[in-house]
Amino acid sequence: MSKQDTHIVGLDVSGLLPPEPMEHVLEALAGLPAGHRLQVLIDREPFPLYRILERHGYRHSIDGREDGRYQLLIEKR
Amino acid sequence: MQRSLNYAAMPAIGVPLPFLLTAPCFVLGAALLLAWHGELALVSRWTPLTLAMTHLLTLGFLSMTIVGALYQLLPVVAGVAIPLAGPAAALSWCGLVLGTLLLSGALGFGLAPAYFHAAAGVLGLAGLVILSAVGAALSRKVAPAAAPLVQGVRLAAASLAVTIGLGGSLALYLAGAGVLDAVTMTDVHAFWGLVGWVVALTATVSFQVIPMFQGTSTYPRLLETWLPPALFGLLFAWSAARLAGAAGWRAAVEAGVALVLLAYAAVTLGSFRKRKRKPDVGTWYWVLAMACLVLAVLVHYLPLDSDTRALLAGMLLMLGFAMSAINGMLYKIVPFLVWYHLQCDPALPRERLPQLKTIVNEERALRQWRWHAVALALSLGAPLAPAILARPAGLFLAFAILLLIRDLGGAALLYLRLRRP
Repeated sequence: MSKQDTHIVGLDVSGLLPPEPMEHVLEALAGLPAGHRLQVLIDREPFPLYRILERHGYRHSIDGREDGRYQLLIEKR
Repeated sequence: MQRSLNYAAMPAIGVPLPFLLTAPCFVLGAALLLAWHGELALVSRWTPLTLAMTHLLTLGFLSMTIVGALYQLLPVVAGVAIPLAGPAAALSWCGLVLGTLLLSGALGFGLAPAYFHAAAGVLGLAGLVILSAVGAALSRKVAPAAAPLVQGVRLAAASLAVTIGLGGSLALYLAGAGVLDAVTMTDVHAFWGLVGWVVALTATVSFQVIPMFQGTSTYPRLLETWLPPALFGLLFAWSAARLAGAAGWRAAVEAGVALVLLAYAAVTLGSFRKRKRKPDVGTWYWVLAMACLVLAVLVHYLPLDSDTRALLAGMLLMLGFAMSAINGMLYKIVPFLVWYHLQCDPALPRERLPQLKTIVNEERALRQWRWHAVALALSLGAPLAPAILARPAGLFLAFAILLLIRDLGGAALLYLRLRRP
């Protein structure tokens, strides 16, 4: 595992109904140690979250997985 | 297929919220009229008071919430922006509020013809603004997954246009202009308004929001795609049969409408039964709505006099089906809008932001559901025993809607308080 990977905090919000995934992500971001990234496993692409992330100075990237879910990576700019 | 939302296109909170907060006040007006006048308000569906209460509910509450929800839903679900959404929403809201008050006042209190003219003009203009705004948005390319929603909204909007056209003609007739068969035209106006606009649009929206927010399986594509055009075609056929006085054809078309609505209710209730998730208060609002839709269909075939049957079916569709579904959605949408727009404000410190479930907790929504259910039961009994049940029905309905006003108003006040510098 690279040094960078040790600074990733995982969060699985699959199976939750909207808007619960967004609430969990925002809670996790509030407690995220400086320099860490949040990796989220989620059922749907979380469009609502993007505007909040942008306004609060986070950048994100998202990848579709073979099982239909998405992997979202969020970090502070 | 996965349902997804495009919140990047979400309008400002000031676009939908005035509609959603004002609408319950018109129910309160209708409930107080019923409580005040008692059985006089339910003598027949043609009494001035009944007509006034009907329009307070259909225009003031149902259309008001549906239009507000469309301003929010079309950009988010279909990915189509409404041009000039802010000014269009403000004009629609003003037109609906003023037009509802003018028409209900003119009908209920027998005001001068000028009030009917004014009501027809204001509501006609409001309809024009709403249909232009929705039409402009729907003429754009939409996300493929949103195609059934967009088709349903298009047909419901066309039904609204027919309803407004017929309603305007009737208002002018009541003001003394021209001659028409008022009974037949009122029947056609009511059928297009209730089935083509309110029921078809609520069903279209439910195809999106029930699987998404209730965690049920998606609706069968056949039902989702064909329910709105089937209802639309049947409405045309029914209107033709009614105008031609072809009783046999009319009964056959009514059986067709009944089958479509029963299929929709059965699929929805079946999807709740199959779901593994525990029901929440939103589920109970939807179950009540579907039960009332089934009852509205069955009441149509009960051996009652035609006036009582029409009153009961109308109440089941307006108070039972549509209001139950809308109340449940209001308890989801309004707290979410408040929470979401607060979260979007980077100037607000995180410790000041409320959790979503604390904005309006589930217990409050459940309390409203219980009072609403009791008010509904009393209202349905009222046409059968008006001397005993009309006033209690009005009082319970008023109390139930006051609970909704308090909960939604509390959420809006919280937003204003937190946004204050």
